Amino acid sequence: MIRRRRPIGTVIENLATATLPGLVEFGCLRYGREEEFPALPDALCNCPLGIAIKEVPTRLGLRVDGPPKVPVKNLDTRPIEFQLVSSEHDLDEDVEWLNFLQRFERSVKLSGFSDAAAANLQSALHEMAENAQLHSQSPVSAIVGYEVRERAALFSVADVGIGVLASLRTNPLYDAIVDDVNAIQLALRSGVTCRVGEHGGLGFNSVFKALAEQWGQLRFRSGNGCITMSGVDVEVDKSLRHRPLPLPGFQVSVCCRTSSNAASWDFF
Amino acid sequence: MIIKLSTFGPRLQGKSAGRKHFASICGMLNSTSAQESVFVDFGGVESVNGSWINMAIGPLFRWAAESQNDLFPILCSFPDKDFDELELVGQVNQQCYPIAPDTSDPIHSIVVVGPLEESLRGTLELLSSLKHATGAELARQLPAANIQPTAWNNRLKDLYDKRLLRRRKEGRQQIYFPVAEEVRIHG
Repeated sequence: MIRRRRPIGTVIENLATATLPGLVEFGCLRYGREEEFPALPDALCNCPLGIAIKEVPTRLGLRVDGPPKVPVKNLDTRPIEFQLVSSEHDLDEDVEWLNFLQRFERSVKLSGFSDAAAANLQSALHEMAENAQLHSQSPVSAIVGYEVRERAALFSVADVGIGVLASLRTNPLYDAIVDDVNAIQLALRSGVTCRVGEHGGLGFNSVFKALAEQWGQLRFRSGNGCITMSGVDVEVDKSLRHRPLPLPGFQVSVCCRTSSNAASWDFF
Repeated sequence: MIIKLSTFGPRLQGKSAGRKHFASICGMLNSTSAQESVFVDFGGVESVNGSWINMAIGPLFRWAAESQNDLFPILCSFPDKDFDELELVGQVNQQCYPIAPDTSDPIHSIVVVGPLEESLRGTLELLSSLKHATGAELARQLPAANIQPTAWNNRLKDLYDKRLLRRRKEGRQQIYFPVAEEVRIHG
């Protein structure tokens, strides 16, 4: 029996649930192709994830126009939150960003992680956001979101910039790389940077450090490359390589659990 | 000179912050004189990550070794849990970092973190036990090693450039000595 694939529009219109990484990756997929892909249905827009992402006006989310995110002055924990990171921001001096990071860390601690694990996750989130800011050359702000549940936390950082392959190839050392998935795998290694003559490329190390001794799931997407890892103490060499639908820019998703039994939550 | 990094905040992370802090540290070192020890004090710092170290501490050691600056940075009270980050940056930059337990001067002991090739490691250990030496003295004292004075001098100069040895000139000779009485190599 031949099973016909449903048109993508029908699939999207009937979506009832989404994960945070799925939501931001869909935003990147739809960026500049709004006529091809319909908007997400009301059911998704009105779920907690949808309500949270609507706080930030961005073409990568569910609200394009309107006022900017209302500044959150308190540091109270939140289960889900999004923030935009533009290249004009000085992250180290942006109070909104620093408060966002603190709320994430506090939420992670409250969900059952140790102080050190929460600090490492916060550091990883900051590094990934800074990477997007410094390297993506994205025409619109990168979107950063986190979601915290009992003994589990995840964050995503997504941009629609030039992507990992084009970014790495700006360094003549890597101009022989022609494949998105190889470019992502290379970029994950310590010491690999697009900056000519500079020593760097240490940002991903904080992601791996954040997952040390934790049960983690990672997904890195860029172009038509995707690298996933899962397990305890994940390593680049044990990653799985995929070639999904191409997406512009770079999307990083990190999920961390206090143990393999904590919150049955699979965002892949 | 003591640079208290806790004035930059309890968490030292990220490339941009590292770059800015490096510039601030250089500004603070304007009034130092050549050969001075610079204690980079991590006391009160909760955590430090590789990107920050790479943008602040890596360039500081390169800058300090330039002949017009000629300073000797010593890291103090470095957070134990972030030693791996320092080692990683050392590997990437091929740098070594001397770490002292506190800012006492003269420095009693240091731990050296970072890659050091076997010949330099041996030379540093030798200098640590001899307290001071010239290349010619090392060649005389260790004839069995069959290493020429020039080769010893090259090793001593490499350790000096890494800011692990100091030197003073006596006549036509350069006498080298470790930056601390006791030197231990990490790992």
